[in-house]
Amino acid sequence: MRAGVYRLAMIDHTVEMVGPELRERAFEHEAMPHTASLLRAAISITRDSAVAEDLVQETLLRAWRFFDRFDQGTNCKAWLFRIMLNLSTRVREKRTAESISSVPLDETHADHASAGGDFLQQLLIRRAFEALPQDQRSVLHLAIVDGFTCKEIAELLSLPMGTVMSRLSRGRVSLRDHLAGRTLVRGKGIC
Amino acid sequence: MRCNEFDDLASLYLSHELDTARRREFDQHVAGCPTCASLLERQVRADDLLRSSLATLPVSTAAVRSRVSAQIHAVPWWRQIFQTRRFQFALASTVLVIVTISFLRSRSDPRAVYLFETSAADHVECVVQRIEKAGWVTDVGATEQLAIQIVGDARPVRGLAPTGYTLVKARPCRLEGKAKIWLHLIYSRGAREISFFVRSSRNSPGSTGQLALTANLSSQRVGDLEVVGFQRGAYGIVFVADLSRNEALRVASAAADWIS
Repeated sequence: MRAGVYRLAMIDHTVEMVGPELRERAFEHEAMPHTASLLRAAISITRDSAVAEDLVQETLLRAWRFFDRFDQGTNCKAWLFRIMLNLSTRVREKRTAESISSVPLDETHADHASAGGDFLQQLLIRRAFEALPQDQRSVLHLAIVDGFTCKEIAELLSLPMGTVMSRLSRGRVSLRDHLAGRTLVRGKGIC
Repeated sequence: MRCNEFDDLASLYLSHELDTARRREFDQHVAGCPTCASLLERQVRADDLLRSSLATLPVSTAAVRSRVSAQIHAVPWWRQIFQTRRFQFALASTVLVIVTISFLRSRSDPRAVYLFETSAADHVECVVQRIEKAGWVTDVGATEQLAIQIVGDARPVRGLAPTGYTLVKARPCRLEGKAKIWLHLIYSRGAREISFFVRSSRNSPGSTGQLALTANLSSQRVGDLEVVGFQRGAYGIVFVADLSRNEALRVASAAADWIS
């Protein structure tokens, strides 16, 4: 992208614009719509809603600062996730150092109505997910919820492909087995 | 494909990263293996449940968006100061003063310009074109006698010579008309010849050109020649050579140091 030129993809065409106020419009158009995805992933990674909000805020501000370097038309979501994953360690360390206590995520945040009949199993799998090590939670969220491929996750986390596949495999086996165990117990009328 | 490869390949299968042949092989194995078929079914179910559980997690982005927006629109303190009328007026005044001073300083004194141009012209006639002129002395002793007559001191003849240069000749030179005599000294090193024009206000009143010189070195390009002039004590000095500006300033600076 030429410096200072921002593109807005309209319904049937792309508009190129120049100027600082248009930078803001382009940022609103490209980056801000990913706020919810970032926040959900941040909650999954950090297991703390306040830390997650801090992390996403830092991510978006950093993205704003370096928005000129973003090659518009490429995958903005992946770019934002890369920034967030790079920042995640630092933000968590900062929160720990400041000893700020925040309310951990619990089931009461879930949307019971939309979950319908699967609510109990969603709850169980989410508990199983939250019990996983952080490295497995990160790759599972990126793969299953955000739809990144193994190759993309390897690039986002700067990890070898084999490591990503291994973490995904172990995480998935845990979830699958956990779900199978619970289902079995419930089937026997114990749950 | 074997059953023990299932867990390794499942992630690539589910993210559609297996190539066509491997994907067909995976499909064929699952179709013929009830255990792996069950595993795949449970895996897909677990993925769907996790996705719906986390993707429907209600998150409020309003707070984050509002904080980000506030920081993006926040006007930095330096910009706030810059936007005040008082600061803008002060800045504009300062710029105007600086520009005016720079303009006045950059304007060349016409008296110095004339002196520099006539010095360069004399150098060209005597050194480049080698036009025959009367009054040259080539002997060092005779030159020192001439220096005493014109500037009241013999020492500049040796003192002004840059390192490696030797005296070629000297003569009285009327740079600014008949009444204003300068001592023209020519030195050489190899094929290069340079000129010093020297005048002292101790012997005679300062000439118009000499009065335009200052303690600071001032230089001017005249054709291929660099001309540098300065005033030190009673001496007005003009140096002319086909050197770069930096080199000419270096030689003139050494001469100024010697006089000081």
